[in-house]
Amino acid sequence: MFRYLIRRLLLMVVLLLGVSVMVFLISHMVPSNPVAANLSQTAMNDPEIVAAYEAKWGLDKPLHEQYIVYMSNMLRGDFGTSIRTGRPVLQDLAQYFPATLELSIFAMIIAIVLGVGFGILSAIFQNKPADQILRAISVSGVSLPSFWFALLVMSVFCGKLKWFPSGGRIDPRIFNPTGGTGLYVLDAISWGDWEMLANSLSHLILPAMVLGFFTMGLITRQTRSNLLEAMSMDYIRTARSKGMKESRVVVGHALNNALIPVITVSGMGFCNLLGGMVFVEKIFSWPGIGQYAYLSATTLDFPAICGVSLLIAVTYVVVNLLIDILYGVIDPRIRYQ
Amino acid sequence: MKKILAILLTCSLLVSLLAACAGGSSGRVSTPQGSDASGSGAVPAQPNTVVIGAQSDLITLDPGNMYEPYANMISYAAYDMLYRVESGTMGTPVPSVATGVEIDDTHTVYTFPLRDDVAFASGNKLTAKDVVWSINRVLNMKDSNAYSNVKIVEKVEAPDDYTVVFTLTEPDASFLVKLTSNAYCILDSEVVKEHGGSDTGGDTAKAWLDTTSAGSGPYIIKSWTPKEQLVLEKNPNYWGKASNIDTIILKEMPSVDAQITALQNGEIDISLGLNTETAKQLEGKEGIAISNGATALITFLVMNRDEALSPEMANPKVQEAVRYALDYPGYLTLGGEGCTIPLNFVQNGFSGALTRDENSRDLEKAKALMAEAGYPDGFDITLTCANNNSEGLEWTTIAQKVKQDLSEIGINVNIETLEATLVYEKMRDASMPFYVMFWSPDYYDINNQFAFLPGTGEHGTAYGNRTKWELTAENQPLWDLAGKIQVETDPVQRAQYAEELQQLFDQDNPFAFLLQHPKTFAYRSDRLENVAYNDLCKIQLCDLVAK
Repeated sequence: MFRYLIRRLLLMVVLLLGVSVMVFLISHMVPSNPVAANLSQTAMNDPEIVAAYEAKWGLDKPLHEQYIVYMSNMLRGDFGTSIRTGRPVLQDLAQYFPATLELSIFAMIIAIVLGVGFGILSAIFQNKPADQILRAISVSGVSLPSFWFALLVMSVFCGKLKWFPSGGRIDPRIFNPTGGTGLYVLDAISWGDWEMLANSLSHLILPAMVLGFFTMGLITRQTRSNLLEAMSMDYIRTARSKGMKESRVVVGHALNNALIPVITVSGMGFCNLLGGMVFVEKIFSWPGIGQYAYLSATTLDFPAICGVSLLIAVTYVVVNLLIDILYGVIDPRIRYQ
Repeated sequence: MKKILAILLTCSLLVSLLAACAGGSSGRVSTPQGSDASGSGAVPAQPNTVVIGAQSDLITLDPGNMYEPYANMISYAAYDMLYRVESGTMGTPVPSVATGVEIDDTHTVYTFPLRDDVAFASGNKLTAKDVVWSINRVLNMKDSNAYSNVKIVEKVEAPDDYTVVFTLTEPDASFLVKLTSNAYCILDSEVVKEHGGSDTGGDTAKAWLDTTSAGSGPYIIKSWTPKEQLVLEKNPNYWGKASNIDTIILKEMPSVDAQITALQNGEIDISLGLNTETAKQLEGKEGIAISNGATALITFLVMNRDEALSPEMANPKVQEAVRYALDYPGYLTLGGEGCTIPLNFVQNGFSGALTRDENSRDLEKAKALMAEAGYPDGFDITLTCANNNSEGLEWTTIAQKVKQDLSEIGINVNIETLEATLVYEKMRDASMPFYVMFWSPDYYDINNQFAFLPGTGEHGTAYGNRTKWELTAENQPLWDLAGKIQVETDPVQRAQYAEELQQLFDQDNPFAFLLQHPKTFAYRSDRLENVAYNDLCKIQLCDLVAK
């Protein structure tokens, strides 16, 4: 197991190098220039300002020189300075990533809890009205566009019912959190500030629900089909014939075996969350990595684009690694050589 | 199952440990009231705190590096300049820290006596040496956008503690207007120097100035979390009239729908992300007022004079025909209430501005011009537009209207939509024959608009280069008039020159100016009054009054 982990981590380094090369090349193939995206119309006509700007950001150097500087800095752990924000990329990522991480974790919690729950109920009440309703919900989850669903949810729960605030991570009139982990829910718990906890949770629920809706749909469908398959197995019939309670048969026997594919789907779902993040963050004014990535891409902020891509690649790799480890934990038959 | 539980428990313990080690605080701005603490949608009024919802585009708070549209809203709150823009005007400068100005006969030496009762938020007195240091700092930041506004200054001196003398490289009648921009903010030199500030080059104070302010304005920047929120607190040492608002929060809300909902729920007090169309959702809502403010943002069509790109569109007769073929009332309808049509490159609110007659569409004349140019049957042309908008009016919508209008004189327009940065780059390269563009000035004076006059090469103008519009003996009179406007300090005479220039420009130019846009915004009229819009600094925060 230990050797397997080391090998996977070494592969991750190779993968990240590959990602950085690809991102660098693709972002520099765009037929535009950060000068056009970041200087005012007057300034970009002034050769003195343009020359000083290009010299400052190394844009006046040939591409291969830019690449060598970029790679050597990256290998030393320096991801450069964002052309758009003028701040170190690592500092930007450290600021925006906790918001996205918090939202993703809550979205996954909602997706897994509801998805597995709905999947179990759907399998138990197969082809009954409850099953039809839950299947309709899960189909909606995988087919509704997240930006449309986000606007709908905001209109109903924030606009009409006024149950939830309409954006942001916390009420700025009351709280201005500094320091901590940047995960407001966790910080509120560690500071013992229950009002902040309630406030941040109330801001978190809707975007997490919207973001997790797609993954919830996937998990519901996967859990239902796996559970139905498991329930038709001989060992389940044996358990029932021994007089075991139905709830114990489902949770204690069938679900254990049905969960392995669900974990795979959950991992893929977590990675899919990053795709929906840009829309959800924009609509719910969530200051996370999705908006940062979008603005960096539209202003050709090369260091930031590379930084975000690497961060997302690391997230993918780590999540997949955790899933592989979880397989071994859940299914004793799986062993890593 | 037990194994999963064990893993979850271990993870929770690790996370709790991380949280416990991280430190920090919840930084209470105010005490929650009633149900507010639970974070429900409805928020009770807190008269001493104002929240503004906007998508601000702020990327720095360092006045020497700012240029974004929202920059001056913050710099006006946290800093002073020698002159400020008068409330409710489009860039009219009025004395602020300076008590007046003396201009010498060469119009290049400006002497400003300063107030002696101004102190920075730190308690340090504001003196002439702070002004000199602040200007020299920006003069040595040649890679910054702000530099383009100060490069007119040859030197700045302080003969005594309360007198500043600027010497300009050439006469510039717009200098007092330039003084109102963030490039001329006065920084507390002693404090900024302690944090890496330098007036001789190599300044490293930006990182610190992104976290706070070092000015003498009515507010202090307490904190800034980019793309999340910016908090301003009242400056207790402010020398001017104190506001009755203690805290102002700029909350980043990229979604207009979220801003509208938040304003109705009372979560925010002002929404700056609206346009005339989206503002209709707030019409008739109790406690909410919708308002329009004039801006200097103009949208126009650019027609390149480079025959290699399109010999048809490069023809001046065709360009004139396009101007006659456009259905101007249709564009006014698209732009919404408050839009105007500038005659050409001088916006309403600037010296001598002229507007176009709405009914100047003349298809017969346009067709005759097309025939005169040698294209009686028209031609095909690509109209490029970025996936961008002018105060909410999408450029693709404008392009479709242009296509419809020009089809009536035989021009078949193919619309090409590209990412904004690609269009800007192609614009710099002058490689598009026909495109939609907008313009917002760096400072609010007609001098800034000379970027639309002819002239190519290193000393050419921005749009002279972008349209390959050469400076010739025929169009030299444009520059003769511009030269007079550039130095004329008598406003009446200057306006007269400006009108002459526009009339002359209208006879031949490679543009079709479509719209000057208003800014629509809404605010809680039950909580606020005196909410005035100014295009330079958006909302004048120091003028706001809480009810």
